[in-house]
Amino acid sequence: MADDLPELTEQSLLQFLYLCPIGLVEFTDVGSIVHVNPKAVTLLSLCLGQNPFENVFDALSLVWPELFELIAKSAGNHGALAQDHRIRSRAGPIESGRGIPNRTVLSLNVVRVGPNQNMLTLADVSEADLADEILRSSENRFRQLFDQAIDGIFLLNSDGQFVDVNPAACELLGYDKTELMALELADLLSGDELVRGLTLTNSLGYSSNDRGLWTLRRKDRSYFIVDAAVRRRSDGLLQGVVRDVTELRTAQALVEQHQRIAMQQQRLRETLIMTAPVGIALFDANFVCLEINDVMARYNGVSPEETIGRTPADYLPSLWPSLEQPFRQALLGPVHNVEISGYTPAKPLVRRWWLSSFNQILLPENEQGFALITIDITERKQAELALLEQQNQLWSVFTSIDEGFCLCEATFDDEDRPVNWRYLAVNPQFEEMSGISDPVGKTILELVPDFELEWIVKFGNLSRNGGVLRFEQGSRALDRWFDVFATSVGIPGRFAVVFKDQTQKRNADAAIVQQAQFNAFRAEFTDSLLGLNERTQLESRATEMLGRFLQADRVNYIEVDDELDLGIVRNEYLKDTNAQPSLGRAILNDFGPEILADIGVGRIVLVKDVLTDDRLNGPGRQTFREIGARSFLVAPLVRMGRTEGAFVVQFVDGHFWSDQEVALVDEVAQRTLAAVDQMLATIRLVRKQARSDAVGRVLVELELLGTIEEQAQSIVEMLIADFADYATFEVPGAVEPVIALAHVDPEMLPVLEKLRATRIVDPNEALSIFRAAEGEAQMLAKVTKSVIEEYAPLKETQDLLLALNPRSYLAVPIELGGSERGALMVGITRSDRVLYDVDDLEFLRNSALRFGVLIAATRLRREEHEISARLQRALLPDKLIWDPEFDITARYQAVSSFMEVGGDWYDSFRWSTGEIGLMVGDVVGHNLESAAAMGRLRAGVAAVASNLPPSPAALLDALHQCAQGPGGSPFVTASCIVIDSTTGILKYSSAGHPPTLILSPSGTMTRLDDAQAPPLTPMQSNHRPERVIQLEPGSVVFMYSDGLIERRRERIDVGIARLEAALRSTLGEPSEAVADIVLKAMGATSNTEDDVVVVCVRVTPTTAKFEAVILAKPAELSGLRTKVRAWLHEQQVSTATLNDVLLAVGEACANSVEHAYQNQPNQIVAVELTLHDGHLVATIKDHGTWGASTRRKGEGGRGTSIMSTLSSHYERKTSPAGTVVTMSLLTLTK
Amino acid sequence: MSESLATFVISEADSVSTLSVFGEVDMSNVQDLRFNLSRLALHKFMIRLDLTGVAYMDSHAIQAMFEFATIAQTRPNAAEVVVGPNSVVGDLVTLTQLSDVITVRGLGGCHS
Repeated sequence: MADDLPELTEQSLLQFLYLCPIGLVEFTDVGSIVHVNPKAVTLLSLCLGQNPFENVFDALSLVWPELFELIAKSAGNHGALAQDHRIRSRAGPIESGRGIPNRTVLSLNVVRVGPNQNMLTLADVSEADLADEILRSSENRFRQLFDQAIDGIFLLNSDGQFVDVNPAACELLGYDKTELMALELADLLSGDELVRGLTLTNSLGYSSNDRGLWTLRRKDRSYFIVDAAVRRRSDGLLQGVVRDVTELRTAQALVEQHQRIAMQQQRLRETLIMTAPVGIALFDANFVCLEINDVMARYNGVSPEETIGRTPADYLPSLWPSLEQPFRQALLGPVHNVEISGYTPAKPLVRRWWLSSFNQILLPENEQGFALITIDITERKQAELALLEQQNQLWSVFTSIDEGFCLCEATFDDEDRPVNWRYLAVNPQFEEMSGISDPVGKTILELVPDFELEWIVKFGNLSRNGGVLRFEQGSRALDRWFDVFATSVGIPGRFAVVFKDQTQKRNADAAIVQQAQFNAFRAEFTDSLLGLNERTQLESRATEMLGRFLQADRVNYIEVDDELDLGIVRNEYLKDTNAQPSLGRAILNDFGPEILADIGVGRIVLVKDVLTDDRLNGPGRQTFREIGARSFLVAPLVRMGRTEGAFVVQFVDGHFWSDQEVALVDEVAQRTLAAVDQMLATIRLVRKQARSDAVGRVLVELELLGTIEEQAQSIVEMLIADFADYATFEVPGAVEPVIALAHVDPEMLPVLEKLRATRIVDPNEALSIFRAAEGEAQMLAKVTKSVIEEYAPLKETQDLLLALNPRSYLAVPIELGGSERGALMVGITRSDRVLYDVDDLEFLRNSALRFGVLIAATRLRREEHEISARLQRALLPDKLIWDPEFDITARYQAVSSFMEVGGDWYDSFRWSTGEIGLMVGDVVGHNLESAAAMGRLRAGVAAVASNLPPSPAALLDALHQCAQGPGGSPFVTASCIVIDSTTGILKYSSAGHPPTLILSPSGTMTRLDDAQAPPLTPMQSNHRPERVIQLEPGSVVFMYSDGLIERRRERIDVGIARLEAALRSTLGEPSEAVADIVLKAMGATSNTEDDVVVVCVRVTPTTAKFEAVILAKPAELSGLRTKVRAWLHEQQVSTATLNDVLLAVGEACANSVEHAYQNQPNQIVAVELTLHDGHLVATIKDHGTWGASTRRKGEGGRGTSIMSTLSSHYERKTSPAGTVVTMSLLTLTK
Repeated sequence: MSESLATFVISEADSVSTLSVFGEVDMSNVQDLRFNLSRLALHKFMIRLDLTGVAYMDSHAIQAMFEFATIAQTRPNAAEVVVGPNSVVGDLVTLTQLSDVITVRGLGGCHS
């Protein structure tokens, strides 16, 4: 109920004010208007002659400029400060029907009703004033009569001295007024009338009219007779009206005129009195009522008949006590604005008030009288009293309630923002409830300098916009919680507040509720950050959640750079989506150095009021005002002592920041940071995993790669795939220090190359690959220009480094085995990449360790392997036998990467009878023993071979014996052939070895698989088969070990078929080419699991020759063609080859016939064709001199074009001896 | 050698006039080819040069055929050359790109 009370009271007060027929204006000492009722507005506008006016204060200042001066002067006084101050409107319009200017006259009273509370009443006294005015004008008229009368009039005091004379009197007596006034009556009287005159002047109490004839002396001493009417006035003066009656006729006329004037005056007076809208009554000096108008009679409640001729003491006995005093005063002079109060006979129970003025008048018989002019101010008085009573009641209510009450006036700044309020009144409980003492007349910020702006804005807006506020809120400044009821009071800027200190109750309740809310928020916040895997998403979510929970108007996440130079708004939450966004803006400078410093060290910054906070500088303050932030909090995100970013929570209308809220914002900041860390860690983990996988892949690759260069390249390329933008692998001490380098941007590769080449000669730099190569891992997490300048003293290096532009840099040692150590260096150049940290360094260091182990191991293996391979090669024959009929090539391909030695071998033999023998074999096992056994077997067979018949079976038997002998081998396979170079007969035999292949010049493939015996084992074989085959010239015999054709999970037939296809593709090639092509095609050049031996024999082909000479005549050509065609048939060339050769030779001969001899008879053309090993060379000679003139027009050298197209080589040599055309053509046999 | 290495036969059937050549054509008898080609060109129907019976032909003959192709292009009716598959003539026609100036059938055995 207490809460409703002020509103009701205020309303009833307002209601009263609105209905009150008297203008009421409540205002403060400084002129702030608290209340104005409509009547006041009406009256003021009437008075000002304009409506509406801007505000009441201005209106009052206009109509009563001294009012506020008066208020100021009377500070501290109570009660009436001014009464019946009259103000008049400017000339108003003529009101129709009455003919009297309707001029508004207000009577103003000012009463101080309380501290700093003044009440102005405005009453329309236009009518009363009009009556006064009329009377005053009546008096003026008397004066006018006095001055203008043709009768001389004079006033004498009791000493007979002149007090006043009129001009007529002066004229009558021949004096000017000054002279006359210096005289006495005696000076004018003649001797016998002197006594009569003295008697007249001196006789006290003489009051009756004396009318008679007097003889008076003029200035020129002449006498004249006057008719004088002498009368003693109520003030004791003698008034004489004299007329020269020297001429009687004139005198008679004057009397009549006098009477007429008197009549007119009477009528005028009556008219005025009776029609005036105010109460008027005329009294004589004895207070006998002479006249009374209806208004006054109505006031009195007594009819005019009962009034006239009687005194107020008679007809208004109950009022007389209050009337007597002013009545008596009225006899002495004018009395204005006396308030008379009492009861009239008509309404004896209703107290009435009148405002009265007394004006002295001259009654018709020159008697002293006065006019009483009265207006009834009962209603006004009642209003005033009621108001006072209401206020007293209001105050008594406010002073008696338990709640604090205050009436305040809000103040605003230039831009109409609430900035403060002033207490106009408070009740006694105020102090206890608010903790603020003696507030009246002071502002809240004077009393509580750090008082929450939010309240000021809230109440300021309420006072301006009207309405009622009901809320519970805390004030940190007062350290209290309040239950607040606030209401506007109908006057802009004013508001009243009833409030209760809820602190204790609140502390208990709110702490629990808030804690629960905050905890709920914390949980929700933490949950919602889960599953986000982008930093901006995290920050955006945090920003929004914070904003929603705190109901902030704006929350920014700003990203701060290292030097705290730049803070860009990366995320923004806006409560009002129409608000001006600040995304992307750089706002760090707006904070000013002091706040910035706090942010830099990770301190929370709370700016309660942007307008007053000293830490903000001018432009910063302006910025925050522009974006509409009145209060804000900055919570920095600090990682390892460095501020990375900050949340800025802003409120448009200020905000009460509880400790919990501040702590929450800080917590959100820290949790966001933690979430970011966690997310980054997760990403890093995933990346680490990916990197480890990559390292694993590279490690597998490294095993297969033969050289350190290949391995290093593989490593640096893996590194730039994800980990780095460039990478180099160096062995600083080596002759060629840079082993491998890679850059994501191929165009930068030359820069990197040049830089690495340059840096080698710059070993003094502090941070270098040398240090890494000495075993010291290096990290420069952030490479700046100054770092580059410091670490790279050479200008050239500097320039290259700047061109390379590394942002972050790592270098780690890599152990290469033995005493060698290299270094792996990586850098980041792209701006969007995350800089290296210790984790990255650790990763690189670990990877380098693993790479190093593998590189060292493979290197060791490679070295050992090379040794064993050398050993094996040493065991094999340096070179094979040579025979002009055979083109022989042998190849040994060692196992690529294992510490293994093969047991494969080959050897060749020659017999004095012209046969040659070839053998390939395989001692089972891959170790030094098998290699040694192979060596012994080969030596043993070689020793006995020349004593054996030229037979493969015999050689294999000898081998068998050696194998079974000491130092032999229990399991050997071998294949052997013997070729007779004169007959081309080949004998062959095999002991468990893959079949020898023969490729004929025409492309036919023969598998020598029909002379197979088991492998050479301790079991004795009774039968050793041996077969024979005739070789064509140009045929290729191909022997090999099983390493060439064997593949895991592949049948040996398939391998042989592949070999046959590879061999077929070598048709026409010499033996070396055949061996190389086949080894390559079979994949035996790298990464072989087994060692491989191949022996390739090409039977040297025969040469065929064609020679013919013809006469240089066209008719000869046909016969030549017939011979050539026949020879080519003999050589079994294909039809296509035949056609080509025929065309080419035909054209060459035709040319010679046509051009060489210019139709000279008996000249010859010689043709020679040789065919060797598939190559045909044609030579056409003549002895003539070619004449260009004989060339047929339009022929266009078509013949030459045909020849050069058909041949692989075409040449024409012309000399004085003649012309030789040589053409080479590839031939294919049938 | 006989007086001419080649035999020339002109026949008409189904509104096609055909010059069939049998034997060899080289610088010794290229004039005969020219003569017969000019005769063929006078026929009003479609004309055809059938070289499937030619065992050898040299660049002189090709020259004569280029000349013939130039004439044939001015005629209102079509003209074509037929060669045997995998023949010396076919090789030569291909080498010299005769088919650029006159329709050639039988190259590479793709045509009927």
